[in-house]
Amino acid sequence: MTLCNDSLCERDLLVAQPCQAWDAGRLDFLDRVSSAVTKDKRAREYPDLMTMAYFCRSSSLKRWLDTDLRCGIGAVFHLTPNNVPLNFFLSFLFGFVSGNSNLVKVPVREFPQVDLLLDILNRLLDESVYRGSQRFIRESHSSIDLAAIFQRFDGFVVWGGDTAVESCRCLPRKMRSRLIEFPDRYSLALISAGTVLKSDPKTLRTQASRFVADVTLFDQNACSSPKGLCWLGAPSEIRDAKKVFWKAVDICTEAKEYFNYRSLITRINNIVEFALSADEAALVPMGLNNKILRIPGSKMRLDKCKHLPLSCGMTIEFEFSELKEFCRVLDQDVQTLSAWIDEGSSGIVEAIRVVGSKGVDRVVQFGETTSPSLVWDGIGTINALSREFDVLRGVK
Amino acid sequence: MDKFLLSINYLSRKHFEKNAVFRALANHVFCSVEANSLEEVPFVPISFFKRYQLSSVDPEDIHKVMHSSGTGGVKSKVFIDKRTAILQSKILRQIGSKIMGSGKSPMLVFDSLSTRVGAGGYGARSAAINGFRAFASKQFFMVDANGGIDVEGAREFLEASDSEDFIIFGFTFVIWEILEKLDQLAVKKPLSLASFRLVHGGGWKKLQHLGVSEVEFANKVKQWFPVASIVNYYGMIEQVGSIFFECQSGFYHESDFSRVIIRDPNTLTVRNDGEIGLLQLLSVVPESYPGHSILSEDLGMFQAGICSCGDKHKRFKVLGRYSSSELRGCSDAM
Repeated sequence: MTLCNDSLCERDLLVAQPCQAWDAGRLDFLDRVSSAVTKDKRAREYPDLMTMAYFCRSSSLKRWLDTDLRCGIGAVFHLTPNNVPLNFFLSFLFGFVSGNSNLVKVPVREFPQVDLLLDILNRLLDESVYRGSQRFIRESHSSIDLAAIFQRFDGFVVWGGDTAVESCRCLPRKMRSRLIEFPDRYSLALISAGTVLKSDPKTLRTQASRFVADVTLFDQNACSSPKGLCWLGAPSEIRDAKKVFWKAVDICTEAKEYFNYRSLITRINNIVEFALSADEAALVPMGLNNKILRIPGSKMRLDKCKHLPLSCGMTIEFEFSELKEFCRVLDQDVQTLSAWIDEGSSGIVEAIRVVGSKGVDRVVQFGETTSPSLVWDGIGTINALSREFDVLRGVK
Repeated sequence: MDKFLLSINYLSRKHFEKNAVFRALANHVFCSVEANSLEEVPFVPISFFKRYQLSSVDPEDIHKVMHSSGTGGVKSKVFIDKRTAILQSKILRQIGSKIMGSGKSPMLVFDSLSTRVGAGGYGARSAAINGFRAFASKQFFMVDANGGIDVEGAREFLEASDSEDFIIFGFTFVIWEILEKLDQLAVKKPLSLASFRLVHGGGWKKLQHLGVSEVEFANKVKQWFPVASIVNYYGMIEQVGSIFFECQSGFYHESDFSRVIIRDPNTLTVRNDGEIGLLQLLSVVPESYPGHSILSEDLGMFQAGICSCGDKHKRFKVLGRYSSSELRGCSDAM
């Protein structure tokens, strides 16, 4: 089975020589992609497309540039999710910036923003020196000969969930090939009661709407979507802060429709599953509405969030007296921590380091959980898909 | 309180007691089992019939298990006890007699005997053929045991009957397929000069995929049989006893045994007359399983006013299957 419809594309991809990571020509190409997208009026209908267009500018990407003594490893294959429209482009950036040729599986589902971006990418690639070495294929995973790909390519980026990762782990590949995997993770939101109580109304409204965005985007199914809301503070402080915060959240959800039919029915199903799983006592009667469903987690372990049916606007609330207490219970499956606390990101990272927690790879503000990055799941993707030259002193 | 609502509340209480899924819905999603209006009655999303075993009776009391004819792999399961089966037949007879008349006529069934007996499982077609048997003095099956069309058998059946009034019955797409085969066999048309009433149901989805309109369907049937009237019925395997016949004005009507609510797909709030939404069907029949209030994935709308057909019950249209987007997320690379 050919990898893609055009057999020439296989050859071009596999024989194309890797180049230096952070190559100026490649960064310039991405600037042209960014410019073409932002100038296209149709793109403005798709916030995720506009976000990617700004992200892929060289000035944005260089934030992650650490050394120019790096070179690509060869040809990289990307197995990306079907349900997140532009995840494929983020994966492509990992492989392209690191200096490789790339074969990227694009969602089979129809997404207008995918069509738009592919039109631009393919047009610009055809006009460039990268024609043939960077390809996008739109086929279901069942029609792709993964075994053949794994035998011939030099690098693989396998997105979740655990099923995809486990399936690919079984496939024989070259001894020096690189495999980046993104298995199932879960994420949390962290909020300080004291910070909430002293916030002004405008800040409170802004943070509430950012939190709502985090728990509704992608129907809360993204690995970076917070499933639990963790409060920091004394019990009485937390009690008062909850009233204030959730009132602001309810105002947001009343103002806008966040869900569609499929996500509402899934939410109803999640509630039933929760009730049937003997955690019924934790459920508060909800009603048929748009609100974010709150589940008291006082009798649950934090890592239960990973296993419980929580999506389409449901969150378990936990309470901790202080930051280190919270950091001690973070397991390695926690990916993103979105936070609204006085200590800020640096304070959180410091607490995680001091405690020695295995969890949390990303610390962001409310509203930034789906922001793209070249470091994902704790993996520096550019480094992972390139090789670094160790040049000894004295070699001229 | 309205008698229909009283019956529905009785069923809600019964299923609340006997079925854990319905109890979870009533407790946590709808916050009440008793309703003050039909709009407050807890409903079961139709997809739940594929996901859960929705039964409110002990296994030894199950008389029959019906299933949907879904092509997606997982099928709905519907658990019927004897009492529900008897109620279903009685109500079908009562509602159907307004359209089909109180007598019985010879019936040409556009399907096979094996479908009626549920050889491949007891699905919607089996249920329909058996249910409409109540209006048949005798039935003849167009499809023989080998899957072929028994044209001569049908002619003999029609000629041997001393009736002048026949019923053609079947699922819409099955009738179309059989008539297409008759075309290919170059059988002489029409098959008979007697008078026929066509009763069909099962939805238009498959014919829509083929690009066949309702008018084309009717014209094709009329090429083969002098059809005096065509009646389309609407129902679903998940709600036995709910059957709606299209009136001569082209509407379906609620009945004393079934009611309909229209809901906005994206908020699930109730819509007004003239507004399109998802059909929620309520029926007093399902006693053995929590199917008395089901949110379907069919679109429809009420139309205000008195229908020229004379039926005073509220009238509505069925507009086809709702096509919803898939759930979003990121863990489905494979």
